[in-house]
Amino acid sequence: MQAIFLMVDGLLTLFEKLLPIYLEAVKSGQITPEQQEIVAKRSAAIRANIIIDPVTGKPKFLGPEWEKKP
Amino acid sequence: MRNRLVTLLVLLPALLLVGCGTLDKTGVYAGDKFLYDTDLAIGLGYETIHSFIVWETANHEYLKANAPDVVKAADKMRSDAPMWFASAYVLRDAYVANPSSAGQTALKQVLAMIRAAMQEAVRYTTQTATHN
Repeated sequence: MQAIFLMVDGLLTLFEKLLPIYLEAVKSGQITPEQQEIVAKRSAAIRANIIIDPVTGKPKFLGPEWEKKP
Repeated sequence: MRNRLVTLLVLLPALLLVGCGTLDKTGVYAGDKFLYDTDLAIGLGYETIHSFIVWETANHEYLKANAPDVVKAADKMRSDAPMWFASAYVLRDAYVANPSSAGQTALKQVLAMIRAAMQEAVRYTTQTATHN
């Protein structure tokens, strides 16, 4: 039970780290070139995380977490 | 932890909304707000869904025994989310090559699926935290 608390806590920490970056970019007012750059670079990085499996021809995320568990 | 959950839930609408500001036209998007919003939605969607998948993996045995719906949702995202993101990028590239309202509509439909999955991921995570 403690473990699940810690993991949820970890997830919230991740959100809290990411949110300011995005919220800064989405808040009202003009979105600066620097803020646009953050969003563009993140999108490009995510695209780089998607590979095409040569066997199935389908896209697949890198990382073992994306494999279905028994 | 409850305070942090409340913070997350309060901020959730911001996660689900696209940007409401205007773009400085000297930026990389050259004033194309739709394209900026698309990249923002993809980024938020990926971070949220990936975090959910990582969290489910780390707690898989516990969740399988106590919250099988969470495992089922995670498995559905494992199987479908890569296709959603790949489709979003294909449609994004098509929109960049030929900006049109039809292209926007198709892209919006894919982003809506990503957004729905984000909502589900956050809902399951917060539900699990609240019930334990």
